[in-house]
Amino acid sequence: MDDSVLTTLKILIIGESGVGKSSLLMRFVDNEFNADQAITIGVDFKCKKISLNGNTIKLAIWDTAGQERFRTLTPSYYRDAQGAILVYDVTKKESFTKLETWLNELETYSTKSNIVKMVVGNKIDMENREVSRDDGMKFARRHATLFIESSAKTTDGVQCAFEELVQKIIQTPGLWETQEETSKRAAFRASSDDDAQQSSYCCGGYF
Amino acid sequence: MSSSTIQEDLDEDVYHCDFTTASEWEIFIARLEEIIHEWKLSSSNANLLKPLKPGQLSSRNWVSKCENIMFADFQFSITRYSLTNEDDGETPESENLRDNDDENVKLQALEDMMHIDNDFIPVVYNDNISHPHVLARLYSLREFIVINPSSSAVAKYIAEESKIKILLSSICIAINNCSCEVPVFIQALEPWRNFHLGLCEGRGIRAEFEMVHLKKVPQDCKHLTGLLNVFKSRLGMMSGSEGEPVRVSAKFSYSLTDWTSYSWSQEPPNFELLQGEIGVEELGTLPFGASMEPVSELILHAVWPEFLETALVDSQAYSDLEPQRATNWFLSARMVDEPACLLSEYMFEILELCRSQHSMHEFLGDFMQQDSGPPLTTPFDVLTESKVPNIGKVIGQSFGHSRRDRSSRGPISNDMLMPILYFLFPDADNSQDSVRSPYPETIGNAMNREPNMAESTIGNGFKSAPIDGLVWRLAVVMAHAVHTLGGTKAAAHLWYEFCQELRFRWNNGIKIPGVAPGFPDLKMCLLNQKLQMLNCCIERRNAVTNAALASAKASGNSDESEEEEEEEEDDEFYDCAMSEEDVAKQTTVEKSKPIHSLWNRPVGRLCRHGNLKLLNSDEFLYIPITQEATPKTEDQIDEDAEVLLNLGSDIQGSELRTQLMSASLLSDIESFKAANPGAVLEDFIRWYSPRDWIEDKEPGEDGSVKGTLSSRMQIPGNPWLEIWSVAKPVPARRQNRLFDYTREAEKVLHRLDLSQPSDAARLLLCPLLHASLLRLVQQALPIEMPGLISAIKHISSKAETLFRVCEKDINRYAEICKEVAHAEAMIGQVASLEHKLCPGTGQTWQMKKFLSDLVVEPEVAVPGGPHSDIGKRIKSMFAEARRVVLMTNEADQDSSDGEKSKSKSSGLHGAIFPKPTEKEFILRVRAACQNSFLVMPHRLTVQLGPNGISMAGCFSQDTTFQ
Ligand SMILES: Nc1nc2c(ncn2[C@@H]2O[C@H](COP(=O)(O)OP(=O)(O)OP(=O)(O)O)[C@@H](O)[C@H]2O)c(=O)[nH]1
Ligand SMILES: [Mg+2]
Repeated sequence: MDDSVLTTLKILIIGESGVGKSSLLMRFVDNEFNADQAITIGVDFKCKKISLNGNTIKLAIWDTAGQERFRTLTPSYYRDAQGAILVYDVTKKESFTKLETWLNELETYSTKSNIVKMVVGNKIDMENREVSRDDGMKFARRHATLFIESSAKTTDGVQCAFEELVQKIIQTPGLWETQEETSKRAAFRASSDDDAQQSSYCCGGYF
Repeated sequence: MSSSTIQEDLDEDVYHCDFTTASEWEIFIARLEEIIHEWKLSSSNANLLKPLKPGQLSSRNWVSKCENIMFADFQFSITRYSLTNEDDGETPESENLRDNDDENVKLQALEDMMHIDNDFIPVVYNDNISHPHVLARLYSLREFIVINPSSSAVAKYIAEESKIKILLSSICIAINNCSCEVPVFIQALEPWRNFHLGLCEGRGIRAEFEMVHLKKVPQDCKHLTGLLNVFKSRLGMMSGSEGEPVRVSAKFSYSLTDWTSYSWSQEPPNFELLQGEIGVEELGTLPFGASMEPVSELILHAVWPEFLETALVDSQAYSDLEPQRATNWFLSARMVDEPACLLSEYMFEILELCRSQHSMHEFLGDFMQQDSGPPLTTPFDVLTESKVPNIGKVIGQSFGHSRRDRSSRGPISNDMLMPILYFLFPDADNSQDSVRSPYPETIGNAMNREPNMAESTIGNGFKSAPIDGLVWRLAVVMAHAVHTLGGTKAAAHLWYEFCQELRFRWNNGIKIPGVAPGFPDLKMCLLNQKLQMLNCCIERRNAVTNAALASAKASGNSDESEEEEEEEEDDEFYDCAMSEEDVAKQTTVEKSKPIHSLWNRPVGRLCRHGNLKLLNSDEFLYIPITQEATPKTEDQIDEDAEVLLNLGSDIQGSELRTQLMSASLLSDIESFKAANPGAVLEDFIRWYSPRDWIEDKEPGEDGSVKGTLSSRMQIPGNPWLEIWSVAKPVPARRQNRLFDYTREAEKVLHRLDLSQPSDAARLLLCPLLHASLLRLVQQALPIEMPGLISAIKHISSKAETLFRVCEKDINRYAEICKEVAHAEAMIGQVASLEHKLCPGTGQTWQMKKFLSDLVVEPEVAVPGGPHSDIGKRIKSMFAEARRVVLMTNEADQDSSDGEKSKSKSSGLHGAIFPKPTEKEFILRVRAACQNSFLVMPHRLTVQLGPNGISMAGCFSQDTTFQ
């Protein structure tokens, strides 16, 4: 396995306040869950190296505040992100309906036209669900994004959400490589095409 | 003629190896048979294929397969070339033509060879490799095999006749053993000679392919009559004997390189000539097209497809083969390598400027010093100056009067500079009633504007500037300055003037035109962001100034102003504008309910938050006036992000980040406290983060709302609690400014001031490249060249990516420019050809297609032939060139031998066309010859050109009756 880092990717997590963005990130990076996760002020970030098809990829994941009042501050950090995770809370219909606004926000402020988007319905461990899996899926299909449901509490779907997003970014031409790296990507592709198919299947991801 | 002629020009140091060893020979044959079987070429039952349609031999794709084969220790490669079937649209013919007995004795190769629809197909040379293979052209073959010394062979070619003979006889054995009917050739002599010998055998026929090259053309081979004799004598046909007449196809080529009045080139804009009357058209448009004739030669091919040897005469004394009487005309165009083109020249010059090491000071040293002294102006000056009512006048002065004198001493003359500045800052022009070149109103709301055809072709992903906005115009004008107004010097001057104007506008509170309103748009280039930032600063300061003026006026009007209001005037930093109405409302509220003592009187209220009341009092909850968000340009965001990143990704880092990001939270809490004296954190949360306030289902006994903070808000020591506890009630306008517009504006201006010519060029590179591509695509759209638009799209997306990743290496942009130059050259070539061949507007689709085909195809049929309009045009071009030649000849010869010249020129006077540069004949006959009783197909292809004569013949005989 090659230990050198193939590339560093910038990924955003956005969505309404309290949907569990920071919790998802914490679960993914530190494999921890905190019932009393502090509300995010402005932006925060965490790093993680992941290995995908024998390549190491470094992720700089920016966690943004969903809180209305910080929104003027956060979009500046959308710049140059290759991927965005749009989170809603399956037990809060409103957080789902607001996704449209978040997509617009992304449209307006992201500097990469082909940024890869992943819609995540979080908190599926809870009982009082207000948004069905099907609704989430339909939304994703309509906006041509990836989709997955998750629970930061039980770890369901968390790993997959990030991995699939990264996989998709790597497969998108012109999104992450500079010209010199084209060959790297080609090499990457050759080795990973089949696996890519599989992983997206096993995670139940939808494109 | 026999293969002995190949002894000509033998090289001495040819590699020698013994091919005669029987075993080596057998190994070679065995391997050859193996390959033939592998390639499945041994099927003798194969159907006879339908004749190819005209041109298919060159229009269809060719495929080739290659293997290695050794003869002794000499390595050859063996390649099979075959024409694909793909673009036929027809299903492969199912009926077997061989059912007929007649057809059973026909070889595919020989039938193809006798068919006239693919005569004289054009071949294109690429790195000395022809496409299609020359053999396809010489014998009209659709499938054949070539054996030649492989590139790794010790000797690069074989020349000894003995070796060639051994190879040929080996081939003969192999193809007979395999019943392979595909012709097999071996290449001899140096590769550039394209010298091939070959054979084809089957169905009782043996055909031999021979070749002769002669540098010096024998007298009797120069004309058709002589060539017919050569052909017939080789066949053993007696001249005058009965039998089928020979069928002839001919092609004569005439070269035209002297354009005379048909020459074409695009002049660059000449600003000197326009003298102050420079129009918006010229300034805002990048020049386009070839500045020198891009076409170097036109070759006319006159073609007579097929006639009987008896029908037309071509001998030394007389020729029927006059180009005007040819059946078909074809045209080839040769182009100048890398012709000079205006747009790409402009771009290369800007790239050069990007690499420049010169400093502004070198060019403008004295000039800059003389200028208005230290650029820093105190805010107080600004206040007074912006009171001047007529903005137009103020700006007019900016470069209208005060600068006129000294500008004349700059590298760009004042006459030139003023129109340029007015073009960039049209609002400053008060000499005219209406603004001459206003910016499009659509700038800033591109959403509402449909992109036109050209714009949508290259996409809107460019990190550029609004089309025809200030930065865009500056980029275009800068390119003009570099090209026509004095190179780097002029660029430096223009940049300097631009920066001066920006500073003037900042100092005087005048907004910058041609930039989209609002915060810096991170999708745009950095310079555009900087200008947007500057506008944000100007706007904020103007708002503050206006508010201050308004309140000053208000207090001036009422002498008996109340204490509270007086206090407000004292505010040093009146950051957030409060309308007079607000102030009034506020005062009435305060007057009617004088429940606050002086020290905790509420200030900075925006409005009531619904009907919410504070938890611990009967007061309404007010939303405070807060500080506005901070605009940032991408470099600042990067810096900020860098700072955040450097704090590390651990817990401490996280906490520090939270602290850094808390400034706006603190500001909001302070504003809130000021507007809501006596409020508690819960009140704040109810407004600020309602989700974190969990209301009890049942209201309290007294009907008041009860509730608790969410658990995450209750975490001890969380930033919210902490900030709440330290925050003092301070209205937004008295807080430290989160956005220091003066500092930010100075930073922008300073950075632009400090730019060297190369920095300025880099800042303008993307908008310029964007503008160039747009110009290119506008020119390309009307042209019927399918590959062109997609090529431009490809260039565009490459360029787009470079700018997105902020590529620093100028060479990468140079690559893009080279591609632009290539596309521009092609468009220039089309323009030149149009000018020459079919000038006038409104070309039909067919005409456009003809013109663009001439650029990309080796040879194009002249629509309508010699008697069409284009035909006539070609004729007059030749005629004019001819006249020029004769005139110069006569002038030359007047002084020398008079006698000779007279006789010579009189003979030439009638002729329009010069001597052909190349003559080609294909002679075909089906005849019984020498040692054969059956009627067999034969062919001779002759090429007469400046390099001598080359003849390629195929002669067949029957093997059954021998
Ligand atoms: N049951 C359950 N609770 C969750 C889950 N994810 C997050 N939470 C809880 O939801 C609350 C909010 O989570 P956060 O991660 O702070 O939400 P956020 O999206 O980061 O909110 P902001 O920072 O305000 O944008 C916390 O109390 C979490 O413990 C989940 O998958 N299941
Ligand atoms: Mg959070």
